[in-house]
Amino acid sequence: MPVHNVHPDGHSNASFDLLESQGLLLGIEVSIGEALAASLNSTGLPIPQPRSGAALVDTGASCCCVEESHLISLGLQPIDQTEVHSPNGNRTQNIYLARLTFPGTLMPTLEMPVVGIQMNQGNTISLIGRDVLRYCVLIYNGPMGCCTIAF
Amino acid sequence: MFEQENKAFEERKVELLKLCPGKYAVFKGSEFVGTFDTAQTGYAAGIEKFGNVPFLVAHVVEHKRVAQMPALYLGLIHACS
Repeated sequence: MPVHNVHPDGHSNASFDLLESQGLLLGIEVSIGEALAASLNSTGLPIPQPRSGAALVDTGASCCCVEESHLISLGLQPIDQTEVHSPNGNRTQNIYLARLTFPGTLMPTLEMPVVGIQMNQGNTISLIGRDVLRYCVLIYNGPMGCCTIAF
Repeated sequence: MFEQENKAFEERKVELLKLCPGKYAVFKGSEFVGTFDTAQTGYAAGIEKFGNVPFLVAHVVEHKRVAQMPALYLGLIHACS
C-alpha cells in the first residue's frame, strides 16, 4: 500500500501551524480522461494541457469537486447532474469525468466523476471528498503538523 | 440538460435496478447505449459512439444522493488565512 506523507509547504520542517491554518493541501493536476484523449488524438485535435493547482482534502465533502471553469476550459462535457446541498437550498451542478493526478506523490491517478462547482478559491481548485477517502487511510497528525495518506 | 436522457433512464430504471444495480447506464437522447461496471468505462463507450458531446452516464441506484460540501458553501475554506 503506497504511503504518502504530506507536509503543508512540502518540507518536513514546516511550521506546525501551517496544517492548522491551511488544512491538508495536495498539488493536483486536472486533465481530460484517457478515452477523450484517445478520441482527440485519432482526429488530430490537440489535447488540452492539464490545469494545475491545489486540492484541499475535505472530510466534510461527500464527493470530489473541481472548479468548473477549469473543466469547461479543458473541453469536457457534462455526464450527469447532481443536487448539492447549500445554505440557500439545493442547487443543481454538472458532473464531469475528469482525470486527477497528484504530482510528486505516490497517490494513484484517479479517473472519476467530479462535481463542477464555482469555488473562487484562488489556487485551490479542487476538494477531495469522501468518495476518494473511502479507499484510503488518512492520518491527521496535528502535533507533527503533517498527514499520512495510504491507498 | 439531460431531460430526454433522464426520462429514458426513469423508464428503464426498475429493470436496470433489478438486473444491474450499482452499474452505470449510458443514454444519449432516448437511445440506451448499455450498462457498464464503472463511470469511466461508460464514458469511454459514449465518447467512442458519440464523440465529445453531452451524454448521460447515470449511476443505477434507487435514489441519487444530495452532494454535501458544507465548508465551501459556508465560506469556511481557508477561513483562517
